Amino acid sequence: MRKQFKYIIIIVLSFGILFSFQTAFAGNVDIHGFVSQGYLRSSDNNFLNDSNKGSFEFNEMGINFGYDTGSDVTVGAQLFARDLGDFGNDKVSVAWAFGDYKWKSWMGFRAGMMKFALGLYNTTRDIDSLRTTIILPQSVYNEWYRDVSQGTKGAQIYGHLSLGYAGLLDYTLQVSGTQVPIDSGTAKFFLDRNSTVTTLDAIDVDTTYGAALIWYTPLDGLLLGVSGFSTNAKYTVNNSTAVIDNPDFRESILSVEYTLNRLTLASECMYTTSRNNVYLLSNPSIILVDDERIQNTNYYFSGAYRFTDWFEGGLYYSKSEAFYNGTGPDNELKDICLSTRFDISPAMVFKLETHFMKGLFGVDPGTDGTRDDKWNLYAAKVSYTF
Amino acid sequence: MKMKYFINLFVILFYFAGLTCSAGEEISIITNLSVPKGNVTRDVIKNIYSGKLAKWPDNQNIVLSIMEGTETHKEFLYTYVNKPEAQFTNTWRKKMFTGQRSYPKNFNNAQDLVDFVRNTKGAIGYVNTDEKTNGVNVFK
Repeated sequence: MRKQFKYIIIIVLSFGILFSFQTAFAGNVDIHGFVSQGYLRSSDNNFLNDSNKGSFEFNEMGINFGYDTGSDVTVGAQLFARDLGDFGNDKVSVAWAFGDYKWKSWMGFRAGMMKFALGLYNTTRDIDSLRTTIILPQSVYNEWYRDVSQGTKGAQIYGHLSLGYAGLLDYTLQVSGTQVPIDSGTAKFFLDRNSTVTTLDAIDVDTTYGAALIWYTPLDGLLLGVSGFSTNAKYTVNNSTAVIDNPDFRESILSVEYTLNRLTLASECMYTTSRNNVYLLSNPSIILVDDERIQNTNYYFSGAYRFTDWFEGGLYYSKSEAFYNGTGPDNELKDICLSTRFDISPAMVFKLETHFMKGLFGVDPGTDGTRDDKWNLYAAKVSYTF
Repeated sequence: MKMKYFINLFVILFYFAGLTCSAGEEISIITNLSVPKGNVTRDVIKNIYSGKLAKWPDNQNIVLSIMEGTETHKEFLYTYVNKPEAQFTNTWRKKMFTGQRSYPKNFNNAQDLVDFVRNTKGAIGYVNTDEKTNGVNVFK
C-alpha cells in the first residue's frame, strides 16, 4: 500500500512538473498519455495472470511529453506503469527518454533510454489503442521477455533514404546497455522454466547491438522489414554456485505488412539462437553443459479490417515454441485469436477477444492444480488516450 | 477445413477492402512560401502525411497541419494519402508515443490552418479549394 501511495505521489508530481514545463516553454511542450484496463479469463490453466478465476491485474498507464526546440533537436520522455499478474505491479518506470537530433532526412541521432526497433510492434507494444488486438502474438511479442528490448540505454543512428522508383528505406542502428532486474518478467520466466535452477542471483547482459531496416516498396501499402539484435547474457544461479552462459544470443525478425485501404495483413517470423554453457562459478573448468546450440523459430499471420469508422475486426494465428530445444505440448503454444475493436470516441477504445489455445508453453496450472493443453482465453479491455 | 474457412474469409475481406467513399470536395494543398514549389508532388505529399518524410530537400523541417474530424480531412486522406482516418490517426499516434515525431498541428477551421501555414516556415496543410489562401503556395 505504501509503495502504491509513493507511485501515486510520483505521478501527481510528474503532472505538476509537466504543467510547469508547459507554462515555461510557452506551449512548445506536447503532453499526451494513455490509460488501459483489461480483464482476462481462461477456461483452464493460468496464463499471464490468475486468469482461470478471472483477473483485472491487466492494466497500463503512461504519460509522455516532448519538447521541440524549434531547430533540429527534440527532447522527450515517457513514464510508464503496468500490471500483468506478477509483472510490473504498477511500478512507475521510464519507458523512454532521449534527445533527438535530426541532422538530415537520411541521418539523425538519438541518445538516452529507448526501445529496440524490433519487429513491427515492439516500440508501440505498451499502448493498447494503437493496435487491433488486446494481446499481441506471443510467438514474437512474448510478455515475459519484453524487459530485454525495453528501456535500454544507448544511442541510435537512423534515417530515411529515398530509393527513387524503388521506394523508401528506413534504417535504425542501435548500440545500448540492457539491465534485466532479477525481479523482471524475463527472470521470473527463466526460473519457472528451468527446474534445475533454485535461485536466480544475477543477470548480466553485455552491450547489445541492434539494427532494423524497413523497405517501403514501390507497391503501395507493402512494406518488408528485417530487424534484430545480438548480445551475450549470463545468469548466476543456485546461490551463486553456477553460471548459465548464453554467448552469441541473437534474435532476428522478418516482417511483412500489406495495407490495402481498410485491410491490413501482417506476418512476422522470429528466429532466436544462442550457445548454452553451464559451469560452476567456483571452478569454471567443471562444465555441466558444453556449448550446446539452442534455437527456436516462432511466427504469426494476422489480418485486420476496419468495417466502419467505429468497428474493426482482426484475427491471427500464432505459434510459439520453447527456446531450450524441447518438443511436445509443454514446449509449444498455438493460438488462434479473434478480436473486435470498438472506437467509442477518438479518445476511447473498447475491445473483446477470444483465443483458442493449444499447448502449454508459458502456461501455469489452473485453480484445480492441473494444466489442459486445449483451452480458451477471453479478454476485454478499455483504453483512453489523450 | 479451418484453412478453407480462413481463405474464404480473406477473399471476402479483400472484396470489401476496395470499397471506399469520397465526399466530393476539391482539396488544395498549401505550403509556406519558404517551401520551393518544385518539392510538392503527389508522392511527396503522401509520404509526408504517412510520416515517412520529416524534412524538405533543402533540410527545412516539415511542419504538418491538419483539420481532424472534418469532411475536408477525410477527403484529403482519400485523395492524397489513401488511408482511412483511423489509420492516419494511428500512424501519427505511434510516432508520437515513441518519441519519433510530434502529432500534426490540428485546427478546427480552415482560416486558422491557413494562418498557421502562412506564419510557419516549412509548414504544409490542405483546405477546400474555395477557401481564401493569401500568402501561401497553393497546389490544386
